[in-house]
Amino acid sequence: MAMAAALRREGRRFASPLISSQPITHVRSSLIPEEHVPLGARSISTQIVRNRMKSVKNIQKITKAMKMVAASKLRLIQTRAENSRGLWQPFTALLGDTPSVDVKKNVIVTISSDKGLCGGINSTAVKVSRAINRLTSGPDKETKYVILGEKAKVQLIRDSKKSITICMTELQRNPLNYTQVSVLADDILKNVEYDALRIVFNKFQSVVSFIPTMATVLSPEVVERETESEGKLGDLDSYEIEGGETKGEILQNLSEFQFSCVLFNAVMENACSEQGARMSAMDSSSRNAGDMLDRLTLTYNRTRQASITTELTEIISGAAALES
Amino acid sequence: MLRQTSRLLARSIATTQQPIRLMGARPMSTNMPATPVEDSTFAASWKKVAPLIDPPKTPSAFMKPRPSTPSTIPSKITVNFVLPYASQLTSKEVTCVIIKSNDFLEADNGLHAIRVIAAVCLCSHLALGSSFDLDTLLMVSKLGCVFLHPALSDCFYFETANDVGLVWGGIHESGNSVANRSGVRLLLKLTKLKEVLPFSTTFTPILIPAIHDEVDMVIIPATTGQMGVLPGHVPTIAELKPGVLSVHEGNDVKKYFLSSGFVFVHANSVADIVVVEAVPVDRIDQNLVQKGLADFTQKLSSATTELEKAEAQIGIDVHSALNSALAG
Repeated sequence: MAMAAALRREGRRFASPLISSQPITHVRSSLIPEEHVPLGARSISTQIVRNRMKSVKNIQKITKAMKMVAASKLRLIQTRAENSRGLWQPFTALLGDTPSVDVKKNVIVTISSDKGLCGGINSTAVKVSRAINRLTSGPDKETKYVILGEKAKVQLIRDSKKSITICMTELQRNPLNYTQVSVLADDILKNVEYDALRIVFNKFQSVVSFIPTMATVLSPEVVERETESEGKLGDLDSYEIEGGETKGEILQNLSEFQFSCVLFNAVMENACSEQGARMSAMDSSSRNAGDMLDRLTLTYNRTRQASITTELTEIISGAAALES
Repeated sequence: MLRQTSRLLARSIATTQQPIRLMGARPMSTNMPATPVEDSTFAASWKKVAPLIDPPKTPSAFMKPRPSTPSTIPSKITVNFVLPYASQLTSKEVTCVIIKSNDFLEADNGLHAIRVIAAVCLCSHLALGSSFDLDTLLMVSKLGCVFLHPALSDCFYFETANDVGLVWGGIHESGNSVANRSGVRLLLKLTKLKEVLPFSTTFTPILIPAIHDEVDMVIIPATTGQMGVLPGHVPTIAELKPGVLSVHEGNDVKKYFLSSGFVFVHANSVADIVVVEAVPVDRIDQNLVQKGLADFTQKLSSATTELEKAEAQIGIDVHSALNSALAG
């Protein structure tokens, strides 16, 4: 009995170097850090692998649930976003689209999400905003930022802290509606001097594709200037103005209304893009977790079988030694 | 899922055009490939600054190009009626075209009805008082929308349409939902939807809206008074005050009460009406209007700051406009 036990102990000491050979080395190196294995103890423990499998399975469940939640939110918001697409079209039809207009005061309105885990959309929005900043900067020109959403704030505050005028977060606490956005727009217009407003957002094209877009809204003075200089807006003069005392007043109202309409559409599209991006991010995450789980299961089985084999070997060799 | 339903809807409309006058399916505004000249200067300057990042798209890339000015005055004016939540002149026809799907969708029209969308078809007339079993329900559900109204928890209502008129029905069923396919015998009692459900019958989610309407004339409430717009009108930008928009098509007049906005009339006889809210005049409640008017008059008299006075004045203006809309 004691000899069998002694042999077993011997077997273990034999076993551990044996098992530390090829097939399991990668497992050992990644899963079983050497310092946790006291010398002489059974070093093949499935406990660690099992713990890891449990946590990966939980992560898979969580990400799958997040994907479902994002999908349902996307469904809700997608129809409304598509319905709001018609809102900016009359303005573009009237005033044209002038992204390369040359003005002194540019304000970049960056729209981003508040929550993370939504793929790369916030980073692309910030990259585009920074590039626009470089594009529109120059001698005696100034560019400022207005940031909607926590994620862009965090990124832009690192290098452009001085050029940020207004930051607004928690837009989506209540479902998005036009009233809320028009109040926002009013706020922005009151506090910021601008010649051109450039709104940067991710346009929702499909569940897997989001296009960074920049919409330009010009201030009434710039509109007048462009009309006079026979630029893109040359034929604005041919339009008769009904109502209001002066053309300037109408143009002022028009520009403010345009800004609120374009901002509404932009915010809705960005919200859609956020949910879509989160859906695909969580989908790939749960798929990765599934793959990881498969690999861990294989490792687990191998480990388990190896330890069974070790036990058998010990017993059999012990028995054989006793017999002979 | 909604995208798929709109795609299936487009296909179904294309195939079932004949019985009902349906406007064409709304094309997705993202798949319009216009690339105007303006973008090239922008793209060039972008490349110099940020060569590694793609330039962002601009709104004109997503917009269908407008028709050019015709040489002769067209006979009809094209109206694009845009609101923040809808972008069309909503059709008054309560026509139901349903899409085959097994999903439950939540109708976000504020009516809190869960809608099971059933199949692509326009049904034939169903006789009153018939009784149906589950198989027939499945057939019926192929013919129409099935609504589950949560307030009447064990009832299903469906709505079908044909070119003769609308037939509504309710199904009493003990317990389970359609999705469970419990095989319970269902008694179909056809009752008028109006009498059973407390809300109005213009179910906007099922309406198949037109992207634009070709009409004869529109009368808009500009700040300088009512203005009529006919085809061939001189290009105008008009600011609107709260008032009534009337759309004349043939002998049809449709009236909507608009909150303020703008109207652009272009040289190619396209009128863009951009407003924040629009309500068909027959849905305005007289009592609420009177109450609102009284409230705001009182607020004006008790207002102290300029801002409050201005707000109260706006309220009075809107409500008196509502009043005159109801009257005339």
